[in-house]
Amino acid sequence: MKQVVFFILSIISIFSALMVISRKNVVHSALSLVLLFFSTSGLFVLIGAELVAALQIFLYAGAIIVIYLFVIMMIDLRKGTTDDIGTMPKMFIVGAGVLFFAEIIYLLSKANYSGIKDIYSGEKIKELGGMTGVLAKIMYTKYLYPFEIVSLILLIAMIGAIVLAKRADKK
Amino acid sequence: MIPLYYYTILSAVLFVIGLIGFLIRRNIILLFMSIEVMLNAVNINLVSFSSYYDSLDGQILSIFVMAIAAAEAAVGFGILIAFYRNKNVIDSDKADLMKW
Repeated sequence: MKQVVFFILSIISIFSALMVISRKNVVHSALSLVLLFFSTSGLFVLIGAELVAALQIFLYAGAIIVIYLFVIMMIDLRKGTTDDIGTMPKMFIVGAGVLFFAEIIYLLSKANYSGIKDIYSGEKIKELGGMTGVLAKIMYTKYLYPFEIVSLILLIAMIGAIVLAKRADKK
Repeated sequence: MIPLYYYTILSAVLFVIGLIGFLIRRNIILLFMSIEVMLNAVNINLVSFSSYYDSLDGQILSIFVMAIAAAEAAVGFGILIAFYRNKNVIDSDKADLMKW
């Protein structure tokens, strides 16, 4: 049963990723990206990561797609881009990508998955009071320092975006 | 139970699709979307490994990846708007001011 759901979701996500990179119209690509984020979030729920699935929908399908659509709205796409490279480089790039994929699959087949299991199994998380609480406890103790750095990065990104997009002073 | 290598293979497929999209398109908005596809593949990998090894570090790392993706989109689109204002195109081949 779980495997059937997994296959359906993975086929949807691969299809929508292909749609993202192949559509001429950028709005269609953005909507396919939303579909990709939703199917990925379904995969996260399937594997037992509910909080990450919810954040995926809030952050990616909500916030980031809105930024994309705003920028698409502001730019004249008809004369903005030709978006055309020849057939030869395209074939070359696709061939290189397939080669890279074969390399990843080769490495995956050689890897051994005998890591040491940590303590946070499904029953243990249920006993400790749910995924969100446990994740928050780890994030604010063990990962406090990276968390602060990420908040600083977000602040810098906000200031940087404002400075970059601000119109230069009129002469 | 779904085997772990299903997830790793799916993530590899999505990553390679994003990589090919990044290389064959010239529209800068499409390039950002390809980066999001690749980051999504990385997130699948992190979450599946963290779930199979009963650890939560991978999920926290994937939350950090999402935050960095949001920051990257904001700064990247700031640069894109400035570029569009100067050149009136969003073609990545036209960004050749510093080329010899």
